[in-house]
Amino acid sequence: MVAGSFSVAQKPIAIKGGKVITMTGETIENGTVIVRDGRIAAVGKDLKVPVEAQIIDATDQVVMPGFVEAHTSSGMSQANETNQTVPYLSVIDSIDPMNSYFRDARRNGITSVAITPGNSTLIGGQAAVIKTGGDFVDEMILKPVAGIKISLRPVSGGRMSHLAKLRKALDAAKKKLADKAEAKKDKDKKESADKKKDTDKEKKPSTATQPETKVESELDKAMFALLEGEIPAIIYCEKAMDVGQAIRLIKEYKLDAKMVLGRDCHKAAAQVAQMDLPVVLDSTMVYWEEDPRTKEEKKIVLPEIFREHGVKFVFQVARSNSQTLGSNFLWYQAATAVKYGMSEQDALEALTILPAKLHGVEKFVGTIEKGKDADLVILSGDPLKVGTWVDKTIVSGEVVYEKDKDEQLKRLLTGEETDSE
Amino acid sequence: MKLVQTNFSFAFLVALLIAASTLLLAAPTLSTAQNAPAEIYFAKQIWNGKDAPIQDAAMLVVDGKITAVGPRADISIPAGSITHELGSQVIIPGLIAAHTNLSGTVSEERTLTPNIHALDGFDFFADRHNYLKSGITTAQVSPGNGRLMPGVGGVVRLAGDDISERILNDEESLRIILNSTVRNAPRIYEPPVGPVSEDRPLLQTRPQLTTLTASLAGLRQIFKQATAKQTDVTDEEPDAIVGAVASLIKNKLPLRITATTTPEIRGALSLAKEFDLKIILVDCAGLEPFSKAFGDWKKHVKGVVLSGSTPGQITNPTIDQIAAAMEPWKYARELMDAGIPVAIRSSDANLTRLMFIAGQFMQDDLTPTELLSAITSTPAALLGVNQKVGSLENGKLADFVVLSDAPFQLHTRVTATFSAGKPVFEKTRKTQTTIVLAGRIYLGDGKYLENGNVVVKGKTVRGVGASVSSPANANFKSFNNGAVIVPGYVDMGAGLGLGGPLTGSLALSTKLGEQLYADDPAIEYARKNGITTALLSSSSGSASPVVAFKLGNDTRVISDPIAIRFKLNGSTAAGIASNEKILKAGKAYVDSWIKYEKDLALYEAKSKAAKTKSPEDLKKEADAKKAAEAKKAAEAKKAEEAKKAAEAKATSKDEAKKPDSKNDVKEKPEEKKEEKKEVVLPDPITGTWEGELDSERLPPQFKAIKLELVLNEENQVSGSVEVMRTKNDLKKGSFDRTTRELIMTIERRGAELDLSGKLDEQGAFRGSMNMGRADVVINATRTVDKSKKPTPKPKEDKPKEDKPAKETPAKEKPKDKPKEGDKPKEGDKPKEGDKPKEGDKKEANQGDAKPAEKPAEKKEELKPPKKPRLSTAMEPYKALFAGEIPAIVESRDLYSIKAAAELFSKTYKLRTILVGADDLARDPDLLKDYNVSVCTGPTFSVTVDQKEPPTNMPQLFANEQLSFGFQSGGTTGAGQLPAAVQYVVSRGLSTTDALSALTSNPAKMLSQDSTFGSIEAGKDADRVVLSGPPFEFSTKVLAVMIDGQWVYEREEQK
Repeated sequence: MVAGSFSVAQKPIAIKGGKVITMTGETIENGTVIVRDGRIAAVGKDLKVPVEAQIIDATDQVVMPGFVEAHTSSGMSQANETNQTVPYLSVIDSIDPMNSYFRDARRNGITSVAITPGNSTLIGGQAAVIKTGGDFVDEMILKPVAGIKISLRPVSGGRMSHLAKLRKALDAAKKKLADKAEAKKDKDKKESADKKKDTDKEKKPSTATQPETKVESELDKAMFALLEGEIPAIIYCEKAMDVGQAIRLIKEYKLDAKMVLGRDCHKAAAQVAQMDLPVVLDSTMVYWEEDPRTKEEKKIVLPEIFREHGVKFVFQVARSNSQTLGSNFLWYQAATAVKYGMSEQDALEALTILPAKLHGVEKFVGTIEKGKDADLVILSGDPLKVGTWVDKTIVSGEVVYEKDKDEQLKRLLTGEETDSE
Repeated sequence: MKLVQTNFSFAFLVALLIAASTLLLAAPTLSTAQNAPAEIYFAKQIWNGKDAPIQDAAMLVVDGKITAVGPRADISIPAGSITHELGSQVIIPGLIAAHTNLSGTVSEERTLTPNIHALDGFDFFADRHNYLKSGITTAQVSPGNGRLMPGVGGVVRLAGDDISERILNDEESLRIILNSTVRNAPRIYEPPVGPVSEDRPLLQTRPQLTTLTASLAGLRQIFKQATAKQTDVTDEEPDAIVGAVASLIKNKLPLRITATTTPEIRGALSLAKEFDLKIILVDCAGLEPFSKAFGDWKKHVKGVVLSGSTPGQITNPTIDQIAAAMEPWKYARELMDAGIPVAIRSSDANLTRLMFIAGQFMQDDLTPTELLSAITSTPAALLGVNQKVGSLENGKLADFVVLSDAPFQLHTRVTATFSAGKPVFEKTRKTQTTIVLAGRIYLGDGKYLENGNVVVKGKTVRGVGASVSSPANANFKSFNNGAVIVPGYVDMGAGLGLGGPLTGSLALSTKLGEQLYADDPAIEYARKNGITTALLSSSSGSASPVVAFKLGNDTRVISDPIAIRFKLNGSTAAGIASNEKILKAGKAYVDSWIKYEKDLALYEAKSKAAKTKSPEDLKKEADAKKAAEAKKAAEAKKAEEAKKAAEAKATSKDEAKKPDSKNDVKEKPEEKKEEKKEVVLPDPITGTWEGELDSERLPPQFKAIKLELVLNEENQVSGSVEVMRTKNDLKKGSFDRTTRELIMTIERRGAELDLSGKLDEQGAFRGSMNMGRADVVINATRTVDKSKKPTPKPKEDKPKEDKPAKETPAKEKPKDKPKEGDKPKEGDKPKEGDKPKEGDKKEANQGDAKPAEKPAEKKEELKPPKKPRLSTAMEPYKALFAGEIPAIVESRDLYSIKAAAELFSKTYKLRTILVGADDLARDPDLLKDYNVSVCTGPTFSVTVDQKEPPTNMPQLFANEQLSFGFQSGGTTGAGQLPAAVQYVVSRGLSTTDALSALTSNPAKMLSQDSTFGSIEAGKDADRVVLSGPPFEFSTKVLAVMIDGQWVYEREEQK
């Protein structure tokens, strides 16, 4: 399922002297991380560093697992936003590794990202978890099928017809699946009967009697996988009322679901909590809402509300045109949650291991452990602190970002025209 | 409840046994009752939604479900249950909206969309508070409105967190709309199919059905195929629509057909018959042809949902409609009698008025029980959810509504709504209006009212009667039928509010009201016994102030003083002589002021000659006004400082010598100056004006116009205008002295009306008023002149009179007054102001030692009358001699009583209240020639003759036709006054007389305008709620309200 990353032999890397936050519960002061062949070869204190290793001095710096972004529709070129029921489409086909999104992601310490079809379709296609470092999609893929996106936001017309269409697609697949099971049973029976016959009688050309096996369409295959729980459903709920419908759908069709929640969904936090599903919060995490009855303005803090209900959630970032600049950054989202009472540990988990688990890639990324992918981020100081920068980002054992060499950032910070080109 | 006190396990066993034997359903739920305690609701009535109400009923709710409903006596209460006593309130089932569009009314593109589910568009998180507030707990939700077959409806509860629990039925009925709203279906546009779409390319579109015949034909075809499909399952590629309809028919889903006109209803019925379907007819109007044949409907018509008319809306029907007399409720009775279930629904916009809309159906002789079932149990059955909701029966969800009274009574309101046993709406207690209900209300004047309501808003009573107007959010407070409301009692003499008795004599200027404090424990005791108003005064010394105040949580002073108390001390002759002296002094003071005012008026009249004034005078006048105000303040202060002021004869010399506080330095001189030259401008406005509107169009009685105008110094006009027989206060008004233009604005029927015009030479007003389309000419003249007379001009100013007045005040004229430069020489007191005006004032200061000097110097001229010295100690006499406040005269023996009556009532013509007139027992006729009232107490029995029983004084007064009140004379014992009166009543005083003497009599004696002492609209909300008839031995005080606030409520002992 998961494609191996770099096969080319690389020079080992040793990151020395930094504070290593492994996210396994252990934080090693003045630790060393040794990377070999794109994997983490060793983590610990006073490790023996191979002579050939490239040494990265991380003294006074912090080494963390690379951040995992659980839901974005960025990084694609001409993504599907028109065809409504296309569960067989894959984002992989539209990912553009040269998209500026990946460069920004590396700058922000994001090493893995679940690229997901957008919210403007119905069954918009398949999501994939990919690494942010690489020139070709094939070498970036971590998990090619991470889920099928179902958006409950009506595309045109009302919610009723939107859901009716969804039900229609699901019901049709369900029926076909049932028919298929039925046919298989019949076939098995027949075959066993045939076998008996065969043992009894002489061989006959069985192909003539056997019913023609229908060729499954791509649509059917994808829908079957969804209904059989092979592929999880990534359900986007725009409003709280969609949560109610999502819950009904999940129960009715027994979906393996992950929820992506619009900001209004906080009203359904209790219901979300009851379902005990992984949740991706809206990028606008703090806003003011007017009570329709009392006209009272109330500050809504999403991480606070969901935390109170005991919902485990991860963050997503806004597309570039959001109201506040901060919500464009994953670490800023985590810091906001901390500001409103989340523990630092939980917030860091929501940046690393939690989204990895959400997409079932925790065996590869999310913590610093021996054998895992060498997706690391070296921070200039403690995480979630103002003034802490991403100094280096390492994806699959390769340094893909160095602040010192970030010409864009330099230009941004100093305003100087660099003549490097 | 009593079981709780006994052995727990025994009680539980009993409860279990009863539950097991009588309530089959209750048994399993009772085991969980140990975690969630049972809740029991007691109410005056419980309407279960099907049958006649159960009187004095109880309902047991365990774990969100009803486990028992019945008469209070029949319901056994499990141990540890929580009791809710709802008093006179009534419980009904949560209402069911039989047809709504709460999922929105967006119309689909296509005409036939049977696969759409209304619940898919239902927002479970939307705020449904308004519906819950009006008692609706369950709603049918229909798919869109504008298409022939818009989809499948569902049924949801409107409260709750768990969505699956809220959905009662997700496929309730297949909706079909046959009325005109579906006739304009759009053309179908099929978007080009993308290369990867799996949709069948260019699916052939169905013709959109746009006529009734086409609709019915189309439906027939679909149903034919769909029913055929039931038997023939081999159909390979079923049509999506037919397939969906077929599966719905297979599930025995009824059709919900909106059919308004007769042909539509006929079409619906024929569909039902042809395909053997069950239908629910919605919004039927054209029922007339089916009348007498409704019985035939039974087989196919599951029910009819009728809608009432919009409440409170005037629709202006056409003559044909009137002739047809098609009221929505016309066939409700007949349908019901024919055995067709009838549910009543309202449009979404009026959903909150469902109860009212249902109530309209009483027009068709539906009983309240039937009406209630039409919005509860009947729709529940139609919607297939009657297993769970719609009635209050064992095993049903505890969705219920608490009403203030029986349903469909005009003033009944929802006070609480419960969903699954949990309150989802409870009326807030913040509202200002309270309605108190009791078996009998004594109004205070001897009259009483049976089963009345009193509406209280804020501090005052807004209405009393058997039926009262009340806002929707009013709080109801009802006492049981035997309860009696009486006005709050008045104690005409008590030592309350000071923490102890008041001894020693007090000057009349003492403001006792400022020294009161509400923490006096005696107050609490007194009001607990029903006393709401008390009078306080010193019992020694003559001419002392009497204050009246309310015994509320903060003592509110009604009037200070409300009366002057006199005492006849020593021998009759000495007592009368000393009091006469006091009265004489008072009268002299009052007379001096009356004379002053008279003189002033005369003076002003004389100087009226001056018509216009020089700007200088205008300015002077303004200064004078300012100074007058300052003077008042200064005087008040001074008076307080010196109590002897009453006797002191104010000479200007004295005043000049008198050291003033620093603050007064500036004010005082101004005051002097003012005395000399109080200037009033001629006022051609103030007074009563009468005239008429000059308009042909108006009938004569509408022509009259009457104005009451007052002109102030800023040339602003206020007052009122009575036009077209309505009186309106002026919103604004102004008078231009130069142009003599008068402009006024009134608000009439929400619009602003302008009246403008000019005063002519004779002072008559000629102007116009804009009245919508046309201006109307107004002519009016001043019939009553209430203006102050203007100050005459100094003679030298006269030549300038004719010149028009200028807006800008000219500089001080160089007369014989010193200029700015002279100031240092003259004023040894440095002043901050350097303006000429200031200089002028100071100049006046210098001269104030010889007040008459300057005018004399100037010219021989009219002198304004000298103002008498103001004395706070004497001020109350003004009110006394004007008859505004009474004199309370304390006397003992027979002669002094008569002498006092003679002196106070006859000689000085004062309103007199005699206190302590116990000797009257000897000669009851003594006061028959005097117009006096009596205050009796604290002893009410006087023994005249040892052989005779003691005289019951109040009864004596009552029989002598004397107006009398009671006083306790007590401090902590003031609260015992009602008990003392009870004894008086037991000895022969009538209850009515006793009540009047405790309430309305004192109020009337003290002032004609008293706002206490009776229960009537506009008066203070002071009242006592008694458990039974007043002065009965068994009667207890249940509650006491003062100024609209409950200050005492008796806790029920259980």
